[in-house]
Amino acid sequence: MKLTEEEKQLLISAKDESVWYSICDDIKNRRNGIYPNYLSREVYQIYQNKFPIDKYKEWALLDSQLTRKAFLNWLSVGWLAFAAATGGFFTAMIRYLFPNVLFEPPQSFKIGFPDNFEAGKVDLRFKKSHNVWIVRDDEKIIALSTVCTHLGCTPNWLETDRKFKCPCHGSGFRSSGINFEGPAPRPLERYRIVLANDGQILVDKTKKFNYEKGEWGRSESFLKV
Amino acid sequence: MIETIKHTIDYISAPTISFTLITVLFPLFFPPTDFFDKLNRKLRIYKIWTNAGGLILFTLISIFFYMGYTDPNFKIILMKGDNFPIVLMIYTMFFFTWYAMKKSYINDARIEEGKKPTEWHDPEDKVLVWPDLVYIELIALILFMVFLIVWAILVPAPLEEPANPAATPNPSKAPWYFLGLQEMLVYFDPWLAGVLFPTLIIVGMCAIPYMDINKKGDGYYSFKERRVGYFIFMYGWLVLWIYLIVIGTFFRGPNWNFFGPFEYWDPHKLEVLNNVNLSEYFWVIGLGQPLPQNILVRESVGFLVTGLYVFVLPVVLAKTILKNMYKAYGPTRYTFLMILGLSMLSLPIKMYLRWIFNLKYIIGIPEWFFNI
Repeated sequence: MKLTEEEKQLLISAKDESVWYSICDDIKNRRNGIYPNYLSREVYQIYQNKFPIDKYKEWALLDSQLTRKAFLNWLSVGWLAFAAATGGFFTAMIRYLFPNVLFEPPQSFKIGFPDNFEAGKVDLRFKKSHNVWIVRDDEKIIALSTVCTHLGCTPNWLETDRKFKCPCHGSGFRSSGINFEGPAPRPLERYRIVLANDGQILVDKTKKFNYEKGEWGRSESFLKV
Repeated sequence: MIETIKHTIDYISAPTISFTLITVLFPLFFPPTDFFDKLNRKLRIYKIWTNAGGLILFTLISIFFYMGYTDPNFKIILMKGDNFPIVLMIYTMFFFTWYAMKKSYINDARIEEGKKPTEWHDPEDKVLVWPDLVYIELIALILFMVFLIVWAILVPAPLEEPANPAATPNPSKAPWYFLGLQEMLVYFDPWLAGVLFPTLIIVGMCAIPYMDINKKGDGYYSFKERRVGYFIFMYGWLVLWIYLIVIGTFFRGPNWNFFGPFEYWDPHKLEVLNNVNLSEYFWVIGLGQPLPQNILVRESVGFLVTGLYVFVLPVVLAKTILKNMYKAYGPTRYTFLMILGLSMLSLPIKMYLRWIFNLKYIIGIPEWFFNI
């Protein structure tokens, strides 16, 4: 049941808020204590007209405490602090990716004297430690990467068939590194190989030579013997 | 006697033979046109989709696996913990295909007689999610958990030695559900088989409701009313996915060489392959001259062939054989369907090119990581 005209007039003519609330209680009691949504909305509208909210001293006080400018200042300080914290967090995260000590073999290493390698043989000794095959033929020594150029598995050297054969998708490479079967699109990569001052062979994995770029003819991509 | 059967199975399971056999026989089992439908009826192949046919199918698969279980070589593969889901998959896949086809054939016969499909009599009133559905789901969940726990207790996890980048296991197999992808990788560049095709498969499956303009077969099992779509989808699903998983599981051994299921996995089995790019076929073998220095000139033939396949073929088809389809589907749907269809078809094409001509790549530009 909506407010009657009489009740409305009563509410509008209420002297102060304590009178107002007693009138409200009367209205509720007349309806068995039920105060439904639509009724409360109607009452509240009159309340707002009668006792405007900005009349409250507390609100005025708040305004003096926190102006728009002060609020924006605080907001910028908050955001800056947040950005600094996240920035620091991510800096620490990225720093974590570059450890102080690396437990991996050096990228360039000596593998012994050229006489240690037999002509026509694929040397598997440095496969596990350095991911490199050393292949010597009649005129040169090369260092081959052990990463298949198709999808990155490690092929196996099959001595009887004289080929590197990848166990993942069946790519095959000759001892020179040339791909000849399976899906591998390009030959195995070669690493820089030179003689060090003491006469030992130095393999440098930081420098690669790719066949498809025509780099296999360059000096240091193979070692003449 | 059994040895002969085993040798025969070994022989015909070679991908060249088995893949061809399945591809040729496939339209007889799922006839997409009237011609194959007539053959299907004449040979009475449709009888597979009856209870007796299903029982025979079940018995045949079971006999095959029993033979595998008693064979020393096949038993090693079959008893591997990884491969248990594949045996389950083969049974369930046959069952669901059989079940759907059985229901479809019943409905097709009813519709031919002018009756309504069986599902027409299904009750139309709705049941509540809670509790009707949720209770069934809860019970299914509990039963499945029990099954998984029993499985986990009975079959120990197939763990291997700690990973070592210097030693890839031989053969190195993906999880069973990815073996179809791994088989695709044998024929394609990783960018295609590993990235583009999986994306196209997912996008294509999402697109089916938007591509399909056939209003028939909606809400009931039916084969005849949507036989072409059914055929194409089932070929992609059963042959180009499931069968490739079966090849990858049972038929691929050391060095990713091919072995029959009853064959000993000899790591020294020699298969001489010398794969050649199309550019080498054209310039070196065809014209007897060295490969041109310029990459684009070198691969011009490959670009031409690919261009013909991707851009010219759909247009020609739209003007000739698929004229009606083009009219019904409209240019956008037709183009999209063609992209999906031609990509799907490129897999068997590339497989046969590899098997027959040892062709590696049609366009092979390793300099730019662009190989097709």
